[in-house]
Amino acid sequence: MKLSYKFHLVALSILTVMTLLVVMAGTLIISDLTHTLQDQILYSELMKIREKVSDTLNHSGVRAAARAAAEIDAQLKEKPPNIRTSRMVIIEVPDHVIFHPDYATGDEIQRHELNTMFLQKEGRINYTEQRAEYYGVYTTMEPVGWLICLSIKKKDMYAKRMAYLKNIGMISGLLFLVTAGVIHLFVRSFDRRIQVTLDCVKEIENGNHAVRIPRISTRDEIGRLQEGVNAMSRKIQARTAQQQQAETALRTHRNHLEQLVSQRTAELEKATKAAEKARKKAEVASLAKSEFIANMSHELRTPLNAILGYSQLMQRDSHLHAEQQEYLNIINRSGEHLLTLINDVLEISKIEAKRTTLNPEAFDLHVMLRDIYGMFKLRANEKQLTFDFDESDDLPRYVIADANKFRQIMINLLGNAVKFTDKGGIAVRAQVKSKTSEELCLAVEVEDTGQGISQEELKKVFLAFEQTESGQKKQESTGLGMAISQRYARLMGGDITLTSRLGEGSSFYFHCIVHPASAKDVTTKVRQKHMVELASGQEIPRILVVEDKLESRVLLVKYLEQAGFDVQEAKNGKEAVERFAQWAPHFIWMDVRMPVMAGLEATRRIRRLPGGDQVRIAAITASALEEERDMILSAGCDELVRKPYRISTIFRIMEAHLGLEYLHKEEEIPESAQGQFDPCSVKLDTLPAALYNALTQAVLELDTERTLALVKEIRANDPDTGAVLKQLAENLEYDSLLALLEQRAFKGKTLG
Amino acid sequence: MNLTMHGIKVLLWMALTVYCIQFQAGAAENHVLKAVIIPKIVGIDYYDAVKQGIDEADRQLPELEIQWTGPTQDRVEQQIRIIEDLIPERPDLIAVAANDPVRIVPVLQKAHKAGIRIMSWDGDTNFREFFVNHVEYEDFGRNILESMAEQTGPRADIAIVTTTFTAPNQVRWIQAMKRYRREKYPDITILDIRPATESRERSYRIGRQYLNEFKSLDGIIALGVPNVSGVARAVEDAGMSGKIAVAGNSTPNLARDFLKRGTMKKAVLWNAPDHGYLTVYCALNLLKGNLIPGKPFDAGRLGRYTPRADALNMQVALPVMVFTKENVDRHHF
Repeated sequence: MKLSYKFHLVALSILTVMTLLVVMAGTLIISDLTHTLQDQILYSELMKIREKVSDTLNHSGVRAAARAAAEIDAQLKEKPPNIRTSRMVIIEVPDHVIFHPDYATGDEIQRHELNTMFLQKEGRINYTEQRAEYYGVYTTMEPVGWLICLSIKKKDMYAKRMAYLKNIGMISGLLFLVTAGVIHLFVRSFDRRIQVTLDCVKEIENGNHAVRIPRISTRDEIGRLQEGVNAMSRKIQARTAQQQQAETALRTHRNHLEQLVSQRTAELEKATKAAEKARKKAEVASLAKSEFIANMSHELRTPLNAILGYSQLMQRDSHLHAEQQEYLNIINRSGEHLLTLINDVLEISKIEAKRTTLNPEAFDLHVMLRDIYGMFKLRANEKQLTFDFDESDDLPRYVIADANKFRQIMINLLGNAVKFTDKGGIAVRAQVKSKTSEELCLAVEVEDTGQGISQEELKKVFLAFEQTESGQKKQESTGLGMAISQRYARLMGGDITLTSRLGEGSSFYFHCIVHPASAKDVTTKVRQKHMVELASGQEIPRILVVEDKLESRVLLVKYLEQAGFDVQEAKNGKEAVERFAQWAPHFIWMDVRMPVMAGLEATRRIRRLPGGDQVRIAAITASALEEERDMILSAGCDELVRKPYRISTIFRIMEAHLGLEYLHKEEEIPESAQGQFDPCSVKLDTLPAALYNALTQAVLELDTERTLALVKEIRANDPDTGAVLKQLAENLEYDSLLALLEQRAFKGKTLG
Repeated sequence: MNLTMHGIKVLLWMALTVYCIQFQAGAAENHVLKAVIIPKIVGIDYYDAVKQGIDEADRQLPELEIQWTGPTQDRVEQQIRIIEDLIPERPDLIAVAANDPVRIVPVLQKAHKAGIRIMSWDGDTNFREFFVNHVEYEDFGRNILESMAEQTGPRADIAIVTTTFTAPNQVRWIQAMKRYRREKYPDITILDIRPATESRERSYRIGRQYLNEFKSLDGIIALGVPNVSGVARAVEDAGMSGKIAVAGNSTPNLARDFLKRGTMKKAVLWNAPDHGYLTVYCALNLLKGNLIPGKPFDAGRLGRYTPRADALNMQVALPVMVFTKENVDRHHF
């Protein structure tokens, strides 16, 4: 709704209400005023009548008074209209008419309102007579008891009021019209000015900033508003111009910026591409390195396997004289050393490639530490070093951790300590650093009084392929030991740190996270020590050996034939498939990597042939990569053996898969205690000290020949102990041998 | 000897005690009450006659001292001034015959507040504790109309000359006459009532006017002692004596000649000395608290009177006294 309509509506409503209120108030006031005025007029007239009648009565008597009343009554008819129609009555109490327009003097009159008036003597009365309503004022003349009443028809009494009200109505109506007219004119003018302003604002809104309100005639609020609109329009115009300028400048800047951005983006893309290229190159290089290492390991291990294998086979030949045996020992020792080197290199590269995983198992920590103590006690003694091994009381017995890595770390740390300490001693302190219900942190400190390491070289200790000056001097290892150990420790949730001072000694601090375990978690490993042939009374199993490398193939065939198996061989996978179809072997040893047809492909094909699902296939691989395992097993192989393998492993696998029985030359040695065998079964206590010391010395010096010679000597006195020692020596298990020997020292220590 | 002295002392103490008691008793007996009696006017025969009764009672009542004082004109203003002057003197009682029953009220209230007992007699007021009326209004009105009707018969046109229309006695008498007329003589018509104050001349003139104006006139009643003689003379002068009956209240002195000449057969009034006498007794009894409506009190030689309750409080009145040519000479006032 337009503002003017609203204004009209509101103004008219207010006017109407006010007019009505004025008329109503006027009516009320006028009614009251008219009544009061009429009443006063009547009363005043009544008083005059009373005075006159009273005077006349007192002067001339009753009849004269009645006459006077009649005269007064006649005079009333000549009075103004508002009193003209009034009636006067004079009654003597109780009913005697003195004057009445309708009765003669002396008549008796009976009217009920008279009684009221007689009782009240003076006042006002409303009564009805001949259907006309009357209003009367009355008084009583005492003591004669004359009631004088002057009354008038209400219609006449209020006649004036109607006239007044008519006038008020007319005046109000007139005022209403005039005011409405004035308001209308004002609103129209107001509306016109607002409209002009609105039009101008709309123009401005539509972008016409040059528009102005043309005539501003009045300096009131609207006038000022219009001036304001004009001023606003001027300012908008000016600002728009400025803004356009600014926009132009901004656009120029933006274009420039866009150019810069695209230029920089191009440069960045170029740089990114170069980086990507470099990354890919690095990846390729890394891949090549892994491949190289894998290949190298294969290529190195395969011949090494042959060397170690043949040397071990040859050692079995009792026809060899001592010199030949000595050569074989050297070959064997060198091969083992080479294998260690290769394994170290492989291990560090695996660690760097993050391919090393933990193999947690439950083991007896006390036993392990005791073994290690035993192992190094002798060496320390040899060098006339003190060797203190201190275990805290709260050290748990059974724990779950990667036992092999833990042992390796310990051996590395202690080995280094012994190696680099020439005088003084070594102290080992093992304790629980912290403990929760789920895990505990083991801490081992290995302190020596060795050569120590200079501050500059401290950092090199844990770096791969770096050796300290002293290490280089020793030239006994790859220098990978500490790097591998530290990485193992970190893998186990711990670390190895070092404090050292050149010439004063070093202190290695190793800690790792282990989980608590119980005795039942620790499985007893049993190792088949030495088997010679199949037990009689069972079917001779047919074994197919698939291997492209002649040496390896012949080696394995020889082992198997010696044991009494029916063996055939194949040079590659294709031949293997053909031989399987013809001969239906019970077990296949399948080399993975072969020309013509690879081992896995051959396996898959054999599995598809009739009876292919019955045959047991064990893969042989030189790859050190753990991820190959899944691939091999999924190809259909039942087992996996890594090169270089131990022959005992070969026999154990066949035993498991074919349910074979062997005839054993030696008894089984449980591995649980030392991880290798039970030292308790070895009665070293009874060994003569000279012999014992000589054997220990030989073992420490890795002197195979001398060791075997000494073992032979022992066998003469104690065949059981001698057999165990011999086997260990023959299998080049020097660590185990050393541990066994040190057991005596350990026992002695605990006893003594 | 010693015993004798002691006995004398005892006797002396006893004598002193007895004397004191007797002195106080005597003082109580000797206390004289003072009452002021104010008539409407002094110096006229009527109130002289009233004064005789007052004096007689005064003599009989030693415990009451009466002071007689009044205006020389029958005007209320003079009476008001007299009472104003009396208030400081603190009389025990004021008995007034008011010339205006209304206008005298304020000064009476003032006196009453000052501890003075207020009584009216002869002319009533609107403020008083007791009123000693001449006669009962109804009695008086009936007697007058009856004496008129005796002469005119039950069918007659009569006119009345009164003193003023403000004099309560006359107004009440007229009202009583009107009531009696309606009750017993409805055929007697009252043609007019005109005021003559208490003036023989005016009443004479009105009498003449009546005679002239109303040809059917059978009798004239004159109220107010002097007016009876005025009207009677007008009738006699008009030669209408015996033809136009004259009745009204009059003293024996003023009515004597007209009664003897037959212009009037009867004149009614009250015994004026008795009225004075009764007023004094009422004053005394009011002061003594003996005036109780319905309970008779002793009024000396008048015997026992019984106050009756009226519109204000109570009053007593004398019996109406009728004078004829036979008994008029026995009274002189």
